[in-house]
Parts: sequence; C-alpha cells; structure tokens
Amino acid sequence: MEQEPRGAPPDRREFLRRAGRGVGAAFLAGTAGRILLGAGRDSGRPADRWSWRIDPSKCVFCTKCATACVRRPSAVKAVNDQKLCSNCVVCYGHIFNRHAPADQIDLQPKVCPVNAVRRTLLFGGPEGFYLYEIRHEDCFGCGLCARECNRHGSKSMFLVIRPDLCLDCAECTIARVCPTGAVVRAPRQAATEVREPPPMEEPR
Amino acid sequence: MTAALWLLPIFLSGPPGERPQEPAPPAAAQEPDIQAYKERLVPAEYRPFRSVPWELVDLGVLVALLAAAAVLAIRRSPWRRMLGLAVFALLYLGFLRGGCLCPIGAVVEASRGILWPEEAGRIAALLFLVPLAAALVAGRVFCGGACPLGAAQYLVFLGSRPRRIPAGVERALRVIPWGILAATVWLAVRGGCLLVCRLDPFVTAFAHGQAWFRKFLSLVGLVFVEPGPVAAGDAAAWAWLCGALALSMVVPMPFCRYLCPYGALLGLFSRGALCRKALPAGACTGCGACARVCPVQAIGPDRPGGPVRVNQARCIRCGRCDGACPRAKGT
Repeated sequence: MEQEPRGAPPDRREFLRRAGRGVGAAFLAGTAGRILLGAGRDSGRPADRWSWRIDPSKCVFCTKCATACVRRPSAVKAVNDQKLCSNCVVCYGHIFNRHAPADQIDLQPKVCPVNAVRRTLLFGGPEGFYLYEIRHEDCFGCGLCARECNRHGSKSMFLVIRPDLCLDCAECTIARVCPTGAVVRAPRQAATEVREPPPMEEPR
Repeated sequence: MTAALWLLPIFLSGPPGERPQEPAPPAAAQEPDIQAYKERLVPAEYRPFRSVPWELVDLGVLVALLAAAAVLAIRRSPWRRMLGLAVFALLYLGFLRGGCLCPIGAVVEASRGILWPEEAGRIAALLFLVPLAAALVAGRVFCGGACPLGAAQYLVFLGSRPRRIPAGVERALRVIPWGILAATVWLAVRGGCLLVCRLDPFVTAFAHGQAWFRKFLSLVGLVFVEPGPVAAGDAAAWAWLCGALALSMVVPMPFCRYLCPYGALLGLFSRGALCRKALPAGACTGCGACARVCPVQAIGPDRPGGPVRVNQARCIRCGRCDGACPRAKGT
C-alpha cells in the first residue's frame, strides 16, 4: 500500500467523506446547541424528560384508561385530593346511595368494582368525618369513583398516570383513544402535581 | 405619611390568600382540627417520583457501551466481545430498563425539539445525538454493540447461516427506512402519531421485562408495584413480536435493515466515519467467507465483477468477517 505524501490534495472520494463528516458534525452540534442549551428558546429551563399526564380539566371519566394502557393493570390510578375532599359520611365515590343510613354504609354496594376506595374514621363517631383513600394496590384506573365524585360530590377524585408505573411508551396508547385529548406530554417534574384547586369563594 | 402608617399592618399581614384561618369555635376545640390535618397530609401518590437519576445512569451506560464498542471495532477485537456488549445492552437497556430509553424513538423528540426546543427533553436529545456522534467516529457501533433491538435479532439468528437476499432486492428494500424516517419526522412535527414506536416489535418483550424487574424490586420494598401478575401488550403486539423473531431466524436483522429509520440515519453518518471498516488485512484470496457470515449483507462487489468492498452504510461493526477470514486467523 502506497503511502500518500502528507499535504497532498485528497482524491474525490476522500474529499466527499471529509465534507460529509463536517456536515454531520455541524448538524449534531447545531441540534445539541438548539435543544440542550436552548438557543432560541423563549424562556424557561429545559426539562430533562417528558412524560405522559392526564389533564384533569379535560378528563370525562370514560373508563378507557383501564383498558387502553399497554400495561395490565393500567398505570392510570385514581387519587383523592384530600384538600378538596369534604370527608362526608356518604361519599359518592364510595357508594351510590345517598340516603343510606350511617350504620349501613359499609354494607352498601360500592362504586369501585374492586373495592379500592377505603374509608377510615377521622373523628366524630359514625356520623363524623372520614378519610377516603384509593388503594393503588387494587385500583386499575377505571375512574368510576372519580366520575361519581365529579358528578355529585366535591370533585376531589381524579385520575393520574403514575410516572413510576408508566412504561413511558413514546406514544401513549391511551392518548390514541382518549375522546377529549386529555392525555398530554408534560415535563417530568410537573407530572405528579395535583391539579389547581378551584378559586376560593368569597365569604359573605 | 399617615396613610402609609395606616396601610402598614395590612402589608405586614401578607396577601389575603395567606391570612390565617379564623379561630375555630370552642365547640370544635376538643375535636382534631381537620384543616390542619389536611395541610399536613401528603398522600404517597402526590410525592414526585424521582426517576431522572436512573435515566442519567442509563445514559451513562449507553455512552460507556458505545465507547467500548468503538474501541473494539477500531482494534478489530474478536466478534464474541462485541456480542458480549450487545447481550449486556439487551439485558440492561432492554429487559431491565424497558428498551424505551431508546435513540430510535428519540428521533421523534429530536425532530420536534429542533423546531420547538422548549418541548424537548434533554435526555432524549442526548440519546439521539450520542450514537450519531459515535457513528462519525467508528461507524454503526450502536447497531452492533449497544442497541437492544439489534442484539435481540442478532442472538436469534446466531446459530444459523445468514441467507442472502439478491443484491437488487436488497438495495430496493433498503430504501424503506428512509421512507419511514421521512414519515416519522412528518408525523412527529404534525403531531399525529409516533410511527417508529408502533413499528417496533420488541417493545412488548421489553415492557414485560421492565415490569417484572420492578416487581422484583418491590419484593425488597424499593418501589411500588401492584400485587399479582403484570402484563403488557395485546395479541397483535405479541404476534408482531413473534413474527419479527421468526423472520430474524431466516433473514438476519430484518428490522435493522428494512424498517429502522435511525439505522438509516446512522448509516448516512457512518459513510463519513473517521475509522472506516476495511476487510481483514492480508492478501485476499476472494474466497468469500467474510461475505457469507455478514449478517447485514454489507460485503460484496459494488457491481458484478468489481472489487469486493465493505458498504460502510450497511456495516454494523459486529466483527464476524474478521473471525471468518482464513487469512486473518493466522495473523
């Protein structure tokens, strides 16, 4: 193999190779500068990672989250925002019958098909205040409790995609079937934030 | 001045939203304060799940794999070492971490991120860039040494001899990834769907691996997973996975050659690589042993009767040709 003298003009193939290498490196550097450093970005710090999130203001509790997720059981779980919950004796996310006597509530048919909505007495005896929690060990994300709570109750239950359970498909299979487009991409840092509470009513 | 003094207590008391609550009536004094209780209560599912450090670890593993693969490819090490890297990538990036820390899917985030940088994650952008940068140095070492999808197909066909596709058919089929790349970028920018991830057959297997790995961690109490079996994917996804694996036994690496848009991009960058793949050193006798073992059909004459060359865009740097050459064995 002949050794080419250094500094000799490269042949056509080698010249194209070098030009391609330069163009490729320039493309990589430009992309890195644009995305990593945020050149031309309007404002804000870039997020490390984006993940899927349900927008509670758009969710209509169609129960498709339970079946559309690639994961069985679904990564969607219901949560109860305790700051909004009014802790009543009769919770519509818990049982349907609003006229049930207080001592027979545990015998009533439950909203949740797997009985994942559990209540524990906070204080005040059988007619007092209860803490309602959704056991994520059982919950499979059908959202029936959140539907009843939002129709008749204090609108404190809603659905979240747990980012630790989410397999983070690049395209969420729930987003494909969601009727209102409530499943959106959001920065990972904000993915578990609880929704904004409604504006406080002015006391009269 | 007096007006300012008059307003001072109002400023000191803070904005109206943060004003302390009215004192509870005496009747409620013996009961627990439910508002204070709610202020203190932070249910477990409201706490942020910190998984970004794990993803940085994954990114570090990917960079280490690429560096090791590049060194192996440049030093022409035995192909079994590169296979070891690929198996590690399959086990860690694939089954343990779900295979979705995935440069192939990052094509979507990168193409959106170039247009709207505030919508792209930095980790995804790095995932997209690092294998391309490695391709500029040492070619498609990502495909041969660090890609869990490539490793799955590579392992399946390992025992059998690759079947050759006629050169013209092969060249025609190699156009498909470019079409998929164009469609992927177009659909990503339009916001329609993420085409790559629907085409990826192995995501079902990797999702299972990740879910069961988390279940194993939950036994030690590290993470939350529901009790009972965890499954992923529907019948169509399983059929697609089994079909792709079955096809890999007959035609090696079909996804990488005929579908993967990121592989096409890597091949383009690989054409300008600093360290090009050359045939084994020593006097070539034209026996064709290297071309017979090449899983991606990268070795052959450009035209009938021409000199035998390595197609830099197709070569995945697996090193099988070096192992097969009867001349190179002696040296």
